[in-house]
Amino acid sequence: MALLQISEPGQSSAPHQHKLAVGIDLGTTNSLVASVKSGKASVLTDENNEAILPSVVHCGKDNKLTVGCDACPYAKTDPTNTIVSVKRFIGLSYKEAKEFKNCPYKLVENLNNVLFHTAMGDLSAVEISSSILSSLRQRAEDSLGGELSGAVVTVPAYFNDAQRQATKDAAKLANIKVLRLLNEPTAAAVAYGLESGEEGVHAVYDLGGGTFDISILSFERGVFKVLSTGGDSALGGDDFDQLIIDDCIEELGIKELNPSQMQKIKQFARIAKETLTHEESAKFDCLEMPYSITKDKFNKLAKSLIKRTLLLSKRAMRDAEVEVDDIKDVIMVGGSTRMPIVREMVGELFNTEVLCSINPDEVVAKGAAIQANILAGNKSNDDMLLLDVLPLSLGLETMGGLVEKVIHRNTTIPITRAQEFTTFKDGQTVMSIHVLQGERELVEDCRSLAKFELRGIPPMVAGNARIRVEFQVDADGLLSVNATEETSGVKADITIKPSYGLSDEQMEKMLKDSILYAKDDIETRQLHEMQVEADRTLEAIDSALDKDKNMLDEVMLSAILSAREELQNVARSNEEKLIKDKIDNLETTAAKFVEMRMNKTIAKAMQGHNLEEFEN
Amino acid sequence: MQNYFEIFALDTVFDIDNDKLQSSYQEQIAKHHPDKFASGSDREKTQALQNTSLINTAYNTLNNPLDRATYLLDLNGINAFDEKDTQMDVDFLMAQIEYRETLESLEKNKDEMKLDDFIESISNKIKNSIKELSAFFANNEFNQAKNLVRELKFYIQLNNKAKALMDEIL
Repeated sequence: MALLQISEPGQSSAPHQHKLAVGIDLGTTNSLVASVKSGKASVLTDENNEAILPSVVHCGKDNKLTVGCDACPYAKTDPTNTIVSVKRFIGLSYKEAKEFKNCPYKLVENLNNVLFHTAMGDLSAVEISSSILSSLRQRAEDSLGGELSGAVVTVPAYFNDAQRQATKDAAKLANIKVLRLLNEPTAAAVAYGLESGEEGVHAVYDLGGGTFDISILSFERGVFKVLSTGGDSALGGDDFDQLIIDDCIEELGIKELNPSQMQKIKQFARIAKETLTHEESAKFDCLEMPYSITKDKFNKLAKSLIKRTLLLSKRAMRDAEVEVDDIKDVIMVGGSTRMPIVREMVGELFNTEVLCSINPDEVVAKGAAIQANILAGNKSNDDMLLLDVLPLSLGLETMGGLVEKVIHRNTTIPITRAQEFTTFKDGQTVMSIHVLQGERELVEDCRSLAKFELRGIPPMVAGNARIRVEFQVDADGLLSVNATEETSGVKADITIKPSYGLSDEQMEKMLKDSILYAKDDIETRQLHEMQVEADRTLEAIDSALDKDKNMLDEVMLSAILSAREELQNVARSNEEKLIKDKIDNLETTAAKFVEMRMNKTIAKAMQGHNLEEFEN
Repeated sequence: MQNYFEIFALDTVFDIDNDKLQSSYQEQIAKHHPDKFASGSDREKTQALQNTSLINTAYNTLNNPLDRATYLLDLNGINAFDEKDTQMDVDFLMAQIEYRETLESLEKNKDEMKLDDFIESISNKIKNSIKELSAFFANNEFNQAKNLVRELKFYIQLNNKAKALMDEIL
């Protein structure tokens, strides 16, 4: 193969390839994948022309994994094995996950992680998420006709380090190269920003299925800068559904619901909420009893939730040091912003029109696709730069269970910051370092990211050792920490991972024996690779013929052309073996031609040189 | 090594040309950001990460008046927050105690509106101190500047505490 691609010195025969890069919105309720095609971002659809992939995964008996629409019916019939809204669990500890109300799953504790006990075994949120990502990757490769070179995956701006790391792990597990983790609001602003090109301060109000995000960003001279971000990683459309569920349970005096009834009423509640965006009332039957709710009543219930989002929006404005009047417009993102009451109250707070011209479900994936296209190198990136901020402060535990902040929230990333500590006992040789994330003062109120020990500090009088702890946050918002004792140079390096999420060994093991990697998935990938290989071979032979056709006599030329024709005919087929045979056939037929070209190349390269020069 | 002002081609003074800081920052960050090296070598990526970290640190320092003043004093050989030198004006300290007490009572009562007023009034004090600070620096009165920087830090911490309290109420 390599020989076919021989080229003249200084010339590359590698055809200039448009790299296949996509943007993925891994959402709580729905996930999407988008790509830039002929200069325009568009969402990629499945064979049924559906853009939205419900983030639902059914882990059935006999290792039968179902993702998306096909998995949805199982939410009613087999709720404990059907994971809905897995994003709410990603990066969480067992203790935190246990706090979710009405959760039909059997949660299992595994060290700090939470696992779902399913018919396919105990699975982590990372694995479940990766099966969704896998499905999107598959869709993208089918739709774009080749292997992906990378993806930009979006996360809520408010995601902490553990949640970001877990998302990145899920992508890795799904065999996706992450070009960048991008905050969802930033992605939305990119989608709108490039359309309107309007400079100034914008707000992005993102109310999705399970999370709320508010970001204030400026767009100036091609630079998107997040000024501040805030939100609640456990507030979203599901909570509005819950309002209806609670109301229904109260109205009808229902005592208890089993998991399958719960799933059913959840679905009814969601439909009722959607109905209320354009109807004055909605009704459904719950346990064979009729229930109805008016728009007015729903709006009244919804107000308290929306008010919370508005308070968080105000805080974000304060953090950004902007006034309401500075905000040019508000970009609406997420399916939940379809609720008229949300648009109304947000419009009132910001005293400006809300932007919703781009489908709120698709805007994030589209923005991510635009960024992916740039990062993959398909488009010059001179005209756009995205600057994100750290969503939650990072700090260290100090004496008395307090947290000392080292990097404050809303600091532009990447950033490095160092802090010096000292020993508090004579002859102390070990110091433990506890890294936390959050805004609160007490250790117990913040999220523990990692604990590690710096050993081998030379014994000194208390207060004499100088321990420098350096935090580095990269462009994805991921943290690494290293600590050094300055007088002796003892060093400890860690990437924040251990407390929650997965260690590298765990990742590797999962990659190897994940039952989520069904056999046909591997086969499909191999087929894709073979198809790409066929394309490469065809291109190589074409370019060789183009240059050196005159070296061949007619018999050889027609033999090569017919072998080429045979390969061309099967290159898009689904038979991996057949494609391989035809590739081999073409290579054998063209072997002589390759040799002739090689000789010519060598002869050319040696022209004007002595033989001695080549002997070394 | 360039000082933070020099990174952005600014004069080493307290009253910086803010527009120039902003535009120069954007220019620098656009040139060095890791996204520009997404398909580059690991070395380039590491270098980009280090460069942007430095640019961001420099920018944050200069963009924040307290940090800028502290840094400028440092460049003039004055450590504003020397642990051995803790003398403060008595009246100032008394006032601080009163502020803290007000804040504590607001915390108990969880009074959002009054807390908002409190934040507003401290914010005004901060603004005024910054104006004074600029005059001291203009006249090279570094010692007065140092004292004011320390007072300013008190106010900023107080304000942050009040804001954090607001966050908890929200």
